[in-house]
Order: sequence, then structure tokens, then C-alpha cells
Amino acid sequence: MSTDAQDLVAERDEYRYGFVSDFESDTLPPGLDEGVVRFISAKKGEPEWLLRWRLEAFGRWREMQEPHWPHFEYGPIDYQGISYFSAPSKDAPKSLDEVDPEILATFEKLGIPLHERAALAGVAVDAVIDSVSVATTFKDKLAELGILFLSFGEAVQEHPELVRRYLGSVVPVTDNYFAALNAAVFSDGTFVYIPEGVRCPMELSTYFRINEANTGQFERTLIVAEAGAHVSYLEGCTAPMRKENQLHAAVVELVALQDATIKYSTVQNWYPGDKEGRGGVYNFVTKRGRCAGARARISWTQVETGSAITWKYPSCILEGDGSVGEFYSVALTHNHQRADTGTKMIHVGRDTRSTIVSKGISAGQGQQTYRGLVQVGRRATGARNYTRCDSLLIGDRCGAHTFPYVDVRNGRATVEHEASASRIGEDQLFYLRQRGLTEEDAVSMIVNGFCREVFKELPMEFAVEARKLLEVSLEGAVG
Amino acid sequence: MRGRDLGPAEAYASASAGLSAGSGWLLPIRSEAAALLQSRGFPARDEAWKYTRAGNLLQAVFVPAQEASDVALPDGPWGDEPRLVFVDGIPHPGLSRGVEGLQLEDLSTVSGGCPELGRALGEGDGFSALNRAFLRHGAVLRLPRGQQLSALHLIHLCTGSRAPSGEGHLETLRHVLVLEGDGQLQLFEHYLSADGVEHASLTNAATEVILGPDSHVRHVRILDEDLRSLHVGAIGAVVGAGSRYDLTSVVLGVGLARIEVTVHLGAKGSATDLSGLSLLQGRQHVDHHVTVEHATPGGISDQDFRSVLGDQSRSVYTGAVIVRRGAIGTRSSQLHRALLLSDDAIANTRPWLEIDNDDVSCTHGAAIGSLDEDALFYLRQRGLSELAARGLLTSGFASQILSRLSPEAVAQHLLQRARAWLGAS
Repeated sequence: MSTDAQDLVAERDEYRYGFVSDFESDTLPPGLDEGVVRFISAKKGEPEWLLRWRLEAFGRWREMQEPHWPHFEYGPIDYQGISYFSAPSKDAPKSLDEVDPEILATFEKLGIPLHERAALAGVAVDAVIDSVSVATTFKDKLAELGILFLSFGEAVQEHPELVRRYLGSVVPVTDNYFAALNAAVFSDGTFVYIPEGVRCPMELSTYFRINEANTGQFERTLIVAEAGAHVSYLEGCTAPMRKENQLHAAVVELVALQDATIKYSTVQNWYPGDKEGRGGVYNFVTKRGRCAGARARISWTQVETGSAITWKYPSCILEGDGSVGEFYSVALTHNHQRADTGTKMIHVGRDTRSTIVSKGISAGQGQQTYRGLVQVGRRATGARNYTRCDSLLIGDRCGAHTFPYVDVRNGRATVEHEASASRIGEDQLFYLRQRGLTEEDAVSMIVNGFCREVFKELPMEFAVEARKLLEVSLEGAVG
Repeated sequence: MRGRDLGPAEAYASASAGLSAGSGWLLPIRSEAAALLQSRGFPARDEAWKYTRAGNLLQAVFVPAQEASDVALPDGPWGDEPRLVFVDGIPHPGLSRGVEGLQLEDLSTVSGGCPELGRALGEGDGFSALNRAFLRHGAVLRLPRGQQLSALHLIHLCTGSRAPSGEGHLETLRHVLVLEGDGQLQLFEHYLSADGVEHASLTNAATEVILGPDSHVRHVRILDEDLRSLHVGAIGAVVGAGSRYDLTSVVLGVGLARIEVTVHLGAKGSATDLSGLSLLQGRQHVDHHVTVEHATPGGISDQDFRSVLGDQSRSVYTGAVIVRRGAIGTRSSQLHRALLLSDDAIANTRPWLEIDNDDVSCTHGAAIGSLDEDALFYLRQRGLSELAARGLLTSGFASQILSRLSPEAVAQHLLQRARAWLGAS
């Protein structure tokens, strides 16, 4: 063991037994044990039941094996080399003016003029930098409608009964290895609660950013829409350049009760690693929604252009009769990026409907996998699914893989699956170039057309950003 | 992840040691396979076996028959065409019918070895090892360059009689068909049960087809056995340059069947057309597991597999199309359709694509559902009863696979069997 490592272990030993009183330290040294879980819980002033929940998850995680079944390989993750808690060093600001100017400057660089966006676009932003919320806007306005839009930590303090009722109800702690890890060590995240019959008047948005090197990000998002409620939530991500791989294991849980609608949109543009495949984020996320009531609707839209490895399957459990699940996805892999993504649509109730539209683009040596399950249970009479899953290949060294699973156990269900894989046609390129477009513009135009079905599901400002992201991500893919 | 189940594997491995010898060259293949079976076991918790429990094929340790019982050959679409008949896995020369000048013999009498054995079917899983551990009989056909054979029928008759162990028999077959080049073959495999079957049996039949350049094989495989029978089938084809291998797998009668099809398109311009039809009722369970590998430029593959499911039957289809780097200009299509006639039937579909190069055009589709309500309405509007309309649509669904078979005698035989099935269901 190196001296540095010994120092770190010694340092950690210091707080292992004195964690409760050690409120001054803002960043934990790397390492994971029960003391770390207790430290995070104590640091956030959590109630006893939440600590127990975390500890149970930690115990289960220790017994679980890291999965290695996806269509890619990745270097070993050193769970002891990750720091599980870091926060901006100043006290939480009470208004935007109090936010650290450096943090605000970073947002500016990322093209997110926070106050401007908040004021002009009517978007409330709960900005998470590393692990603690530092800026929350429009909270009061939302509060008038009874909408709760809080950091997870605040929600635990202010509405423990709601959090306790729904936390882990869609993604149980034992769901999978990374979800269990998240449950044990999640630092913060977002909690949204829309009361009965309320239509949220604005898009709710959270920008995540991985800021400090070596800090694993373990966000947890919980969105509950009561009967007849309606909410659209945007999640966007950017990360600065990092040399070492960073693990991001988030958990998102959605609960839609009778006649409620939750629309969850993601644009993910984290550091994908350099052209040789060094560095980049491991994006191992568990996202799942539960349509608990009749005619509930959950819609996932994702545009995944970043991360060295993306590994996630935003899913819907369609319990309520007549409930609807949707999954619209664009995933782009360039250079050495890997993406193994898709969805699960579990039809439990009668007359449930689901739509899956997945568009994968592989360029360079990128590897793309669609993996999905459509399951129709015995009770799901009249269930319908339509799946469309297309791959576009650019270059002879990339790959596109499709692994759909269809499991129908009801004779009065209809499931349709269509898929295709092809490259950009020479004739398409020729015609566009003949009209005076550069090859890059022509490819960009074709790719945008290929993704149109998904982009039209995105809120407008996201759709613009998504198109830009694809252009930037595909730079150098042709010619 | 591959799990293992060693109990039955050990029993089978030790039983294989007592198998009476055929040609000497078979012995090392058998003993090597028995050792492999013993160490690996049968598949358990294996992704490839996700929807079919291997354990259901291993309820008993079946033993091979010692000799071919004397039975009558049922009627079938073979007429006077050349045929090899196997009764409980043992060749029955009396029922077989050869052709002068044809290089066709039983595996046990081939001297000096069969170099093509294992070329189209590799090491495989436990059931593949089981096949090699009991390797003894099967048709070995060699068509020299330029030769054509309009029909060869391989007829497997299961008596369902009781083996000394108290169970039915284990029928192990390995057919090897080699076309050296510029040849044509229509191959029919029939799996039938004799009247008065009393016991379940396990058939483990592997067929390897090696096509040299510019050849064409049309292969029809018909499973029409007693509803208690268990069946593991493996079909492997290696397709040469400019050659074409077509397969239609028809399943009418069987209790539980797992049929693995592996086609290797490893030479320029090779093509394959694979289709299947399963008509299932009761508790029948049929699993088609198809792998097509495009390894060289310009390959074409098409698949159309269909199932009609009544009662509590279950159909499983996994179709993996693999396009290797360098297999440019590949064209591939894949379709699985399941028609559910009952609320309790189950359909599982996995149409997989693995593509490692950009110059391809690949599609796959799956459709699972009951009969189209609009089509039913339209037919009833024309005065057909609901029953008649349903029957018409169902038989139309099935006959799209069967009616394109040739010769006419085989197509008619199967259409008649399909109609009988529909009438009964």
C-alpha cells in the first residue's frame, strides 16, 4: 500500500468512530464501509428509518456480485477508490445572489444562464453541483400550487412521510448491484410531488454536473404525481474533462397514480473519454416508473450522446388498467463509446399500451446495444405494444446490436416489433451534396431526420440542444 | 452465464461407455464427448435456454434401443423416392430404399472416419455432447461435383416401446450430407411415431449439411410424433460460395422440442432462407433457436418463423443474426409471428441482431397477437360463420409457409395435416 493510501485509510479511521460529531469535513476521503454510510446519513441529519434503510441496502450490496452481462467490457471499478461525499465548502446560499460566483460561472460556460433561463423560459432549476443542492428557484411559486420541488435532503427533513412512503417502492434496494449501492450512499437528488389534480405550470429542470475529480455521483430522484396530476421533468447533464473513469450510479423512481402523467426527458452529455477511449463517465443508472393507477401515463425520452459507457433501461410497470408507457430514445456512440440501453415495458393491467422508439447511431468504433423487454402478463387482456428500433451505422468499425425480448402470456394482446440496421445511403449523401451541402452538414441532416420521431417528443429548448449535441458529437465521424 | 446440472449428465456419460461399438473411429469421439458432458453438464440458467427448461428434457435417463423393432412404415409423401428408415434410432434396411450409385451409408459402417463430421455443428452445449457421446447411426451422403438428387427422405420412426430401464428409448442420430460442388439436393427429414406408443422417448438428432460452391439444398424437417415425445434437434449448415441453403422446420406433433439451427455463411455470395411453422396445442412447447452468421461479403439471409398456439402451448423463438466485421453488403431479414388462439398460450420472441460493420441492410420484426378483428369482420360480412372465418384466417397464416414447399406431394401432405390440426383445435 502506498503512503498516500495509508494516509487516506488513517484519515478515514479518524472519522469512522467519530462520524457524528465530524460535521466540519465536507469531503470524505475515498473508501466505503458502514462508517461512510452512517457518516452520509448523519451529515444530512437523516431520521433513523432512513439510516436503517441505507444500512440494509449496504448489507445487501456487499453480498451482491457486480454484473458483467452487457455487450461491452469495462475496466474494474475500485469502489474503495471513490469518495462518497463532497459538497461545495460554503454554507447553502439562501438566494441566487449568495451562490458562489465560480459555480455560476461554470453554468455560464455550459450555456445555462441560470437566472436568465429561470426568468425568461419559465424553467425552475434545481441545480445540483456534486452532491448538495446550491440553488433552487421558483420554489415559492410552485409551493402556491402545493407542488413540492426540493432537493432530496430537504424533502427528507420537510416531508419525511411522503419520502418514506415512496422511496424504494419502484426500485427496491435489492433491484440490482448499482441500485443497491445508490441506496446505501446516495448523497442528494431531487424530490417532486404534484398534488391531486394539479397541472405543473412549468417544465421542472435539474442540471447535474460532476464537478470534483474522483467523486462518484449517486443521485436519487423521486417524482410522485397524485391522481390527475401532470408534470414534465427535464434532466440535463454535462461534465468537464476528466482523465479517470467516473462512476455515476443514479436511481430515478416515478410514481403516477390514477389519470396522472409524468413526462421525463433527459439529455445526457457527459465526458465520453478521448479519441483513444481513455477516461469518460460510466453512466450506470436505474430508471423506472410505476403507473399505479388507471389511465396513468409515464413517458421517458432520452438523448444520450455522452459518457464512455451508458448502461440503463428506463422502464414502465403498467399496473393500472388503461395505463400507458412510452420510451423514446436516441443514443449516439462515437470513438470508443459504449451504450447498452433500452427499456422494459411490463404490462400488468388490462388495456395497457406501450410504445418504444429507439434510434441508435454508431460511429467510429462506437458500440451500441438496444436491449429491451416487452412482457404481457396473464391479466393484461387487450394490451398493446409497438416497438420500433433502428440503428444507423457510420464507419466499418462500429457495431449495432439488438436484443429484444418479447414475452406474451395473454391471448388477447397485440405486440409488434420492427427493427432495422443500415448505413447512410450513398445516394442520400450524393443528393444532399449536389445541393451544395458539405458532407458533414449532409450527415447531420440525415441523422436529424433519423432521430425526428424522438426529438419531437422533447420540450422545445431541449430539442434544439439535442440537435446541437448530435452535431458536436458526430464531428469527425465522416470524411 | 452458463450454469450446469451434473446429475443426468453423469448418468448419460457412464451409460455411453456401454454402447456397442460401430466403426473404431467413432470411439474416441464418443469418449471425448462423454468426458465433456460429465465436466460441463446440461445447460441450466443459461441465457440461450431462458424460456425452455433443459431439466424437462431430462426427466429420465433414456437408453438406446438394441435393435430395430419390426414395424410397418406409415403412409407418407415419399412414394418410391430413396429413403433411409430408422426405427428407434436404428437403421431398418428392410424399410429403406436405396438408389444405385448413390454414396449413401450408415454412420456405423463408414470406415476410416468422416472428416466433415463436426464441421457444421461445433462443440455446442450438453445436448450436443450427448449426441456425440452416443454417436452410432445416421445417414452419410456424399454428392460428387455436379450430381443432383431430387429427393432423399430420412424417416425416423419411434415405437415408444419400453426399454429395459423401464423408460422409452434414447434415439441418437447424426446425419452428414456433403455436396462437393455444383450440386442440388432436396432433403426431407420425417420424425414420426408408430401406432400404439406407450412411453415417452428422447430424440437427439443432429444434421450437418456442407455445401461446396454453387450448390443448393432444400431441407424440410417435419416433426410429427406422439405428444409425449421429447426432441432435441440440431441443424448446422456451412454454405459455400454462390450456394444456397433453405430450411423449413415444421412442428406438428411433439411434447417438448428444442430445435437449434446454425447457418454459417462463410463464402462470397452465400445465401440462406429459413422458415418454420409450429402448430401447437395442449401443453406442447417448441423452442426454435436460430443463429445465422454472416462472415464474408455479400451474404443474404431471410427468416420467416410462425407459430399458431392453442390451449396452454408455448412457442419460443430466438433468432440471432450476426454480421462480422468485413461482411460488407450483407442483407438480412428476420420475421417471427405468433398467432395466439387461446388466452393461456405463451409466446416468447427474441429477434436478435449483432452487427459489426456499416455496409449492411438488416431488418427484423415480430408480431404476436390474436386474429385480426378487421379481417374477421370483413369475412363475416361476406357471410362466413365466425368459426369458418377464424379457420380460414388461421389456415391462411399457416399455409403461407407450407404452400411454397415442393414437391407438391409434401406440401399437400402437410397442408392436409395442418387442416386436420385446425379442425381438432
